[in-house]
Amino acid sequence: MNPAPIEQKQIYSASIRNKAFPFLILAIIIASQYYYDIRRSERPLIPPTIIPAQILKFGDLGLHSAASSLMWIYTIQQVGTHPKKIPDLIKVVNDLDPKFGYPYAFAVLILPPLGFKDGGVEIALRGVREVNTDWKIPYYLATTYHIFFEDRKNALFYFDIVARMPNSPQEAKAVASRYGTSKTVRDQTKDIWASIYETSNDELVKERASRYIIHIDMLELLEKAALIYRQKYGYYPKKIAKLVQPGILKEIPLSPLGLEFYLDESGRALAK
Amino acid sequence: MIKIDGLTKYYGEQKAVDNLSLSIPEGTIFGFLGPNGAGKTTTIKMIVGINTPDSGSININGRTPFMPSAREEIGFMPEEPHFYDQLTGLEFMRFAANLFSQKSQAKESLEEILKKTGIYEARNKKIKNYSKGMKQRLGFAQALVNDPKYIFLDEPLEGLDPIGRRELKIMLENIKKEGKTIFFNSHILSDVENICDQIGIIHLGKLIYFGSVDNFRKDKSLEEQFVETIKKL
Amino acid sequence: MRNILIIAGNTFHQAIRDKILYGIIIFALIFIGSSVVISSLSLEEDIFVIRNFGLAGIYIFGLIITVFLGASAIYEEVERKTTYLLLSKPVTRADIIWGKFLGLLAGIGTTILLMAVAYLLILLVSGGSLDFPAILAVMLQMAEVALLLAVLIMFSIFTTPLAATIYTILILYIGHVLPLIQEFAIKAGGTTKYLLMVAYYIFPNLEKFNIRNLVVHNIPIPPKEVLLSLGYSAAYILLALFIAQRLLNRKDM
Repeated sequence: MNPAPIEQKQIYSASIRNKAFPFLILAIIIASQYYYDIRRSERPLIPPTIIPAQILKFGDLGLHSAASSLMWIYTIQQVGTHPKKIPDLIKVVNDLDPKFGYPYAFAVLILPPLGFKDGGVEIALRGVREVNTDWKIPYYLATTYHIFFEDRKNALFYFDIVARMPNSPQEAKAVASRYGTSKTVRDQTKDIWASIYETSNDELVKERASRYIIHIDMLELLEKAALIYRQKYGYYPKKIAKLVQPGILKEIPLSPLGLEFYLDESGRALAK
Repeated sequence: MIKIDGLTKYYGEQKAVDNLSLSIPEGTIFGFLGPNGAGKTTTIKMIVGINTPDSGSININGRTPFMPSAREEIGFMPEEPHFYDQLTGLEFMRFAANLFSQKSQAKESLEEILKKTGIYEARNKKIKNYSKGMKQRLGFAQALVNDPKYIFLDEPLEGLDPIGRRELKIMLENIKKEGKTIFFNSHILSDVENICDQIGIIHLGKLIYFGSVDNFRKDKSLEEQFVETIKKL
Repeated sequence: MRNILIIAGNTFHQAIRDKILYGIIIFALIFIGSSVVISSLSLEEDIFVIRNFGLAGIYIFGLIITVFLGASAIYEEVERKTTYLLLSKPVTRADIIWGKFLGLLAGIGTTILLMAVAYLLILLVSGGSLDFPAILAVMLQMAEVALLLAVLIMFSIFTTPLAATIYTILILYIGHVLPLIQEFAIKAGGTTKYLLMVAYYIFPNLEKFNIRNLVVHNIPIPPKEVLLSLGYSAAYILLALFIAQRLLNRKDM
């Protein structure tokens, strides 16, 4: 016996409800996830958890090097958001796999600008001991001694190690063996950064190197402009803004290192 | 000849089989009957060499079944047989046949056995897709791969429909005609009445009757007499 | 001997036809493949990261497959009583133990081989060279897996499949932290030291089979040590399966 027309309508709408129900629930799930994602930027960033390497070694089934690599990738993600935690994170990476060379080199280059000069050097010194086949560690360490500590003696010492290493590339050997000879400090610095730029596949490091190179180029540009000014007026300008005029400069460039340019009495360009 | 002498088996403190003695002549069908938990399966597992008794001896054609070589002449079908699900029926038969040293069965014979037991059509299907009745038939088929002289079956009629049961009983009679000795457990008494040459009845581990069917049931049906006897104990 | 091989062959066929196994293998291949993507996050050293993650993936999934295949095979035999069909034929309990062991090992070995080939191809495609030391690492992994399988079979004779699995996983963890336990024991001194050192010598030291950390740094591995590790594995396997055989002989099915 067929159901009456009214019942048929009820059965029909019930079956539509049954079919639509799962899609409705799915839509609610997707909407809630979307809402959560929108709100994510308002929530405070959770700082990275730092688990000591000894504890990680208990759970990694002997896969210490793989755990170190994983920790390394995690650390790189934190450079932009939690730079202050980088020294501790890199220490975990080093403890898990002391022979993993790149983190040592990366640390000594990236940490000093973040305010961890000594921490960076300490990590690099450990790296030089543990991994004597990786040329980047002493090279970047020497660079940091040269730039951040203005310690020519230590810079020379480590550049010398790099020059004598059989597997260091030509660009590095060239810079290392020329260090301390005739060129000015600024030219040397520029050479060092250029060699780092050329020998690195690391976008962060390349970006830092190019910033320094551009900064130094700007210093040279400003000095040339100051000379032209002196030729015109017979003296160096007191204020750097005076260089902005037709025939000299269109504008004072902005240093990619975030420093302010100024001139001293002898027309040298400096930054603070 | 199958000779069992003073067979005893304990499970913990419990005596599952109590001083059992049987003597089964060649070329006969012997039905081992009893209620659930009486000790039938425990007994048959010892006879085919799966477990060892705590005391007593078993002799099949003058040899003890605990020597692997003695089991060349034995075929066994366990109760509710379980197989390797990912294999097909034919693959399992081949595997079973290969475990015997004299390869008494060639591939043709394996397929013949499958035809006889009625699962030839399903020989290339995976066992996981077999019904209970098909598994039962395969269980019987694999017991025949080595053309055994002594065949032991634990509840062979279980899970078969009436047609299947009739077919199996006919097969047993044919096998008997070939001179083989058959020993089987059952609690479906109405079926065993007509095919057994002799029966043994076990209750709580003890043998309470051994002899012909007619002698036991007298003028009642086997089932009636059985139930009465058990109730009296 | 012949029956051992026949049972091994049968166990192998049964194992490799399991669909769940294919699911695990696909996950393993995805994991190894994804090491290429993850390595691109590592700035420099992408080959280093691919090697690390590739070998770790082969290891972890190899373990998962071992535990899975081992536990299901034992469950099948014990719970579902397929052994009745074997023991009533001219097959001994020793045949069953060794046959199952070799068959499962062959199945596990096949999947590990598959993963290793995938890893080598991925490494070649990403710009690395043919990684011979990694092949050695996988070989030693097989020795470790064989040892764990033997231990799993031994446990499963006297406990439930689930408990046997859990005990085997515990042995796995303990086996890898034994060097740390030894360090701790030396520092501790006194009775603690002796107790821990006893544990150190009795439990299987699975770090012997772990040359991954050396392989990724291209540190050469002395052949004598490799042979010693293989011998250690063989000795442990014999011990575990011998105990399993004795236990099974005494067990009523």
